[in-house]
Amino acid sequence: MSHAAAAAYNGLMEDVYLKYRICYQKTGNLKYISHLDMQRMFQRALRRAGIEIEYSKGFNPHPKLTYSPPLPLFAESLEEYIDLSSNNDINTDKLKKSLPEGIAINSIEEISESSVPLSSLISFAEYNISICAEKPFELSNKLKNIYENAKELKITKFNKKKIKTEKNILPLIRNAYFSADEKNVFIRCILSAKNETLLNPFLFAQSLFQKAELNFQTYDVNVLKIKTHP
Amino acid sequence: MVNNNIEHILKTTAKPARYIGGELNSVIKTDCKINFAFAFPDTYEVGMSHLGMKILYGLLNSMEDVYCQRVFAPETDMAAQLKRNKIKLFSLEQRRDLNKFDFVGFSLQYELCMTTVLYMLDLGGIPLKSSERSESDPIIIAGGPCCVNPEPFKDFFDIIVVGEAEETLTQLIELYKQHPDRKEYLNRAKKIQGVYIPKYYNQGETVQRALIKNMDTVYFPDKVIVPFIEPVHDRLMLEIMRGCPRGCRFCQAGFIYRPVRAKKVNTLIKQAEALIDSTGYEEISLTSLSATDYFGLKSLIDDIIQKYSSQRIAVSLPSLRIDKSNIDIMKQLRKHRPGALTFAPEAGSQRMRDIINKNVTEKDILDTLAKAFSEGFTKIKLYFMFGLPYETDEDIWAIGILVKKILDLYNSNENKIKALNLTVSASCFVPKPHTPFQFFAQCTQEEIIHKTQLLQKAIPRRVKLNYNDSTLSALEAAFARGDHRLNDVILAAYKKGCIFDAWPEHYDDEKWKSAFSDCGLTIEDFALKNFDYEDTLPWDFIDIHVDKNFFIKEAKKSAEQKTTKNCYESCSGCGIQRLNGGCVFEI
Ligand code: SF4
Repeated sequence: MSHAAAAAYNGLMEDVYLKYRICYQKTGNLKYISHLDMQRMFQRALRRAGIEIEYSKGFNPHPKLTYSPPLPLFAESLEEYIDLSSNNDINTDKLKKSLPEGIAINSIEEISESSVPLSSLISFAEYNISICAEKPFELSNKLKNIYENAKELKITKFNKKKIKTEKNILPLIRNAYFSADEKNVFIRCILSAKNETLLNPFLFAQSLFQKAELNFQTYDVNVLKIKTHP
Repeated sequence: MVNNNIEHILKTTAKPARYIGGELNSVIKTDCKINFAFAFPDTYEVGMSHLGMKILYGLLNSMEDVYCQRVFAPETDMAAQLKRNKIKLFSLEQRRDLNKFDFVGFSLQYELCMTTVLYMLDLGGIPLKSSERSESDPIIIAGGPCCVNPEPFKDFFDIIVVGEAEETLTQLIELYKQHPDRKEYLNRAKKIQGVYIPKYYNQGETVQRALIKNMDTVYFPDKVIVPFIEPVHDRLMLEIMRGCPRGCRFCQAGFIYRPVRAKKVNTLIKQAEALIDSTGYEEISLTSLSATDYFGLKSLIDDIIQKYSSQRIAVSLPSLRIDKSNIDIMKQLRKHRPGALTFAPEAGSQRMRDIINKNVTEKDILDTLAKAFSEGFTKIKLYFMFGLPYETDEDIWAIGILVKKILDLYNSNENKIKALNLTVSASCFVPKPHTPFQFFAQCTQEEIIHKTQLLQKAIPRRVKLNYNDSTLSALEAAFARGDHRLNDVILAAYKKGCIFDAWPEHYDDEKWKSAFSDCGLTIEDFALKNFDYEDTLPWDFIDIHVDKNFFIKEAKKSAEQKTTKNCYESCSGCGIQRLNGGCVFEI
């Protein structure tokens, strides 16, 4: 007997929801799909896979799904999460078939009601930033020097009222290592990934370029999120 | 040929997801003999909302040696990037250059899309005019409702399909397998019903509109593409019926899709199940020109709602005919999603509604809304038209009077929970070919301005009033009833930089005016043209199976404010009856 069926059998006639945590990869062309569009895509994929998820109560119910902090547009990732509650078992094969190319399931596990929520589970994320450059070794050294000697690293942002604000992102960086091959500069870094202090790896790289007085927009930059850290 | 070198461009383009393909249910094939590009002359978001494209994409890809791929009009930022990097406009599925297809089929859904067609051909490296193309170029096809008057754009297409394309397209493909030689192919294609080949047309020939006889057996997709980004209409569309029994005299769709052909409820239930299961969509819209005229609507809705209640699938209808019994249907649909009710009284006065043959009385309108209010609906959208034949200032005032009555009705309702959210949309009448009003001029720009000012005064301030740009609707009118002289105008306008003309932010009135004057013409020559009943019309050679005499009869009746019964009540002998020995409807 399945877990859900067992729970239902054990006397609870109401819908019984079990919590699941899905870990997945987002790669390839899906880097062009925003977090919001991904959410809609997942709701439909779950429905195609026959998974009935729990909805919030109220006049305009919405599905109860929790996602790991948003991945920036153009970044790929090997470790993303969704938490969901469902009253039926998840058929992994069916779910895999329901997903578009570019999404691969790493694992699906049943978690208890009291398990650590995603927001507490993930504090940092590790990225590999690769930057296509003409003189990669030179550039790598330059960026490394800037990073290691920086007292602060500023990014400019526009707040909700469209007012320009500056922010020092240095405290949001746990570490960063610089290397290069014939074509690319690589920055391997661990950045804050808490919802409130999420640091976008593109912005991190951009701030270094700004200090180096280089035009970031003209470089082809790829970001891969490798894993998350507590 | 297959172009993979666009990664760096995508990262600097707005909404790159428009250009990547790879959506769920998009078709991947290899090594097909015939490559067909389905081109939509508008953005991805608009094109992906269009049911006809989904049907034909599925149909063509169901053929073994055919690969149908999609192409949309890139936004101007993307187009600039393509040009700068010498990349041709490409298909989403395979990134195949547009000029490497055997066929490029454009779907012409509205009149103002023609410069965008040229823009796509140009970006795709294809000569703009049929006469400039050679054996190595793709065959360029036009389809869609605009093709009932193909003269204004005939120079740009090798084949124009008039009418419903499902069977005609299949025949065109089969023929191509046997006769790939361009000249021979086009000459033979001429004989297929619904096919117009401008190049090989002889004076005096008629082109008969193609139509599907049996809606239950005609191809309908069991899965459709689920876009990543939100298209304009982000829901499933299930076509329940083709044609409309009503015969409103301004409405082109009401005549060019005759007669009413409904699908069986069982067919629809199967199609709905397949679509929902293969897409995971949360909403299915039952589409038809007049969905509430579908005989099996209630049982169809009941069935879908019951079957999918645990999955929270909502069912929606495009708009409602004004009839209080329809409120019950909406009540049932609302259980899953609260929404607005949309009605189209079209005109404010009874006199005017009789002239256009709306067959709705003021009592019908007020009864329907009273019922809606008592059921707790608070969001209402009303559609009106102005600038109609025989219209006077009083008729415009009457729209305001009707709206006031509706407000009073709401205020007298004891159950009201919150303020009424009422929107009135008014659009300027555009005379269309193959309608009883095809003979009439559009009203002048001055009249349009006068009428919109009057409307603003007539409609109470607390009601939201929308109306469209008057210069845009004049251009639309010119193209709707235009003739072959417009081909040069389109080309001139494109050369001046006009594209996406239906988008107010792109539309450039000055450029269009100068394009007309470069050709020795004005927009008014066409928009303000009154035809006599005896005149030969530019679209007379297109036989949609509804007689011109029927349109003349209807036009004369409108002058006397006489109405005509709908097809369900009694046949008025429009001409279609000759096709199938009389119309039979299940009602
Ligand atoms: S032939 Fe009669 S019933 Fe059939 S579409 Fe024409 S008017 Fe309607």
